[in-house]
Amino acid sequence: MGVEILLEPFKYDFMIRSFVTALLSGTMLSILGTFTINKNMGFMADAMAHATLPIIAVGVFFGFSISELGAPAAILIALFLGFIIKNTNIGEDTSIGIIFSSFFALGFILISVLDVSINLEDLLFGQILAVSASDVAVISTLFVVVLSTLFIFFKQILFYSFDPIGAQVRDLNVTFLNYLFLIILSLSIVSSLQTVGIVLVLSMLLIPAAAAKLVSRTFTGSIKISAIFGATSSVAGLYLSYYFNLPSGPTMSMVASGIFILSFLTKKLMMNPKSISR
Amino acid sequence: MAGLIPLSHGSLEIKGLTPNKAKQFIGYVPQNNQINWNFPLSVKQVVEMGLTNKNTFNIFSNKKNSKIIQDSLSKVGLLEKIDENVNNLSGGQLQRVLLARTLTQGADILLLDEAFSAVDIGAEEDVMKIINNIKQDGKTILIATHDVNNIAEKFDEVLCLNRHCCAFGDPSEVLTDEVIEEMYGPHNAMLKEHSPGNHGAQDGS
Repeated sequence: MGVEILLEPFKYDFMIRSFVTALLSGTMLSILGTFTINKNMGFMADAMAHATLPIIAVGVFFGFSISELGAPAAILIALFLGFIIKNTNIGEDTSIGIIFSSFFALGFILISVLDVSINLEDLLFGQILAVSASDVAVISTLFVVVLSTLFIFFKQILFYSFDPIGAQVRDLNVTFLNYLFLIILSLSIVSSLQTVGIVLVLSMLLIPAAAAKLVSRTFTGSIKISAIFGATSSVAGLYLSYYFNLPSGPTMSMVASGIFILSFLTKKLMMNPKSISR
Repeated sequence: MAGLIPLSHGSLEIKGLTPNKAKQFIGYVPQNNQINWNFPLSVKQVVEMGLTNKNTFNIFSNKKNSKIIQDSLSKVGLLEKIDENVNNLSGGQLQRVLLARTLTQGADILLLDEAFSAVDIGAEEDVMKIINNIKQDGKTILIATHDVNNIAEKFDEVLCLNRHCCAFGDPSEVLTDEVIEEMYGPHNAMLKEHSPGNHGAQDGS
């Protein structure tokens, strides 16, 4: 009975594609998330997701699919955000806020003016059931590219993130590392838009990583646990959405939130068993 | 010296090289507040950064590096903390971890930025002891500090800076009341005579 419940969705090709996509983007986002939360880059990540809207609007107008647009849009946005933050003196949060809201607004105007046929709700909250075989190919490629880049440059990115000035004195190419991280972060976010959408991509990026940080003592441990939490949230979310007819993106986000609450309670219990009763 | 700020005028050579080319000889201990302590890293991971350079493309540590890390931690007396999370360490222990990081690098010149700003007096003595041991190994150690107390006991030479060189030499001789006032006194009158490359008549340059 239990096995049947687990296997039933796989009768449909579109569900197999959905599960593969959910697993890949959930894992990739949650691994990148461990760096994002420790670098306090949540707002930046949110801006990256929202800033894709005008690029998607123009791209779809010219006949491209959203997944085809993902990689170039992600790289453009990462370079643009990185450049603006470095070259304006108005503060990182303010720069990000300006770009975030302006691009998002521009996206809506373009969709309206160009009369682009985009289902906005799908774009904002994800529509994983609509992924095509080529979408799966794109996200699989990005999964390999993003994670292998992260692991090849792992020690350098970690050094730069922990101690940027020390890394610079040690002659690491800090400008390159900064843009490299922005690009892989942006790639993972943009490639996951179809899974969880612009608004909810942040939940898959930040929540598993935050939950893992609560229950892990080491950074490398938190990466592994975050990947497990991320994969579990997306796959369990998809099962729940299938059986209870719930929207897939929001369900995955809520499972991640549930894992976070459990991690928080576990941590509280481990630290001080009495505090929970107060 | 660390190659962080471009020279506005004049020239600077370290072992006959420009600062950018001499980076291999420089070990740097940053100010505590320049480090992102959010990362729950182990002491080993932080010390290993001394062995990380722009050609490091591996994710796992090899045995040779582990040995260097252990040796460096022994020198600062923190070998037993190798797997400890850096967030659980005291200010003095953190300074020692960062010193161990520069030791793994094998740098000849150590730059310590405000090394004693986040440590108590006991820990400061521990750090000074380690610095003295490192000095015995033939390394040059430069420490930036705002604390002029007991400087004569701690250091061989002192360079007093306030926009210009106020004094340089044996601290017991050059740290006169006039020099201290010049360093910490009002700047306005003094700066009238100063522009890049021109440090007024006082420093005799």
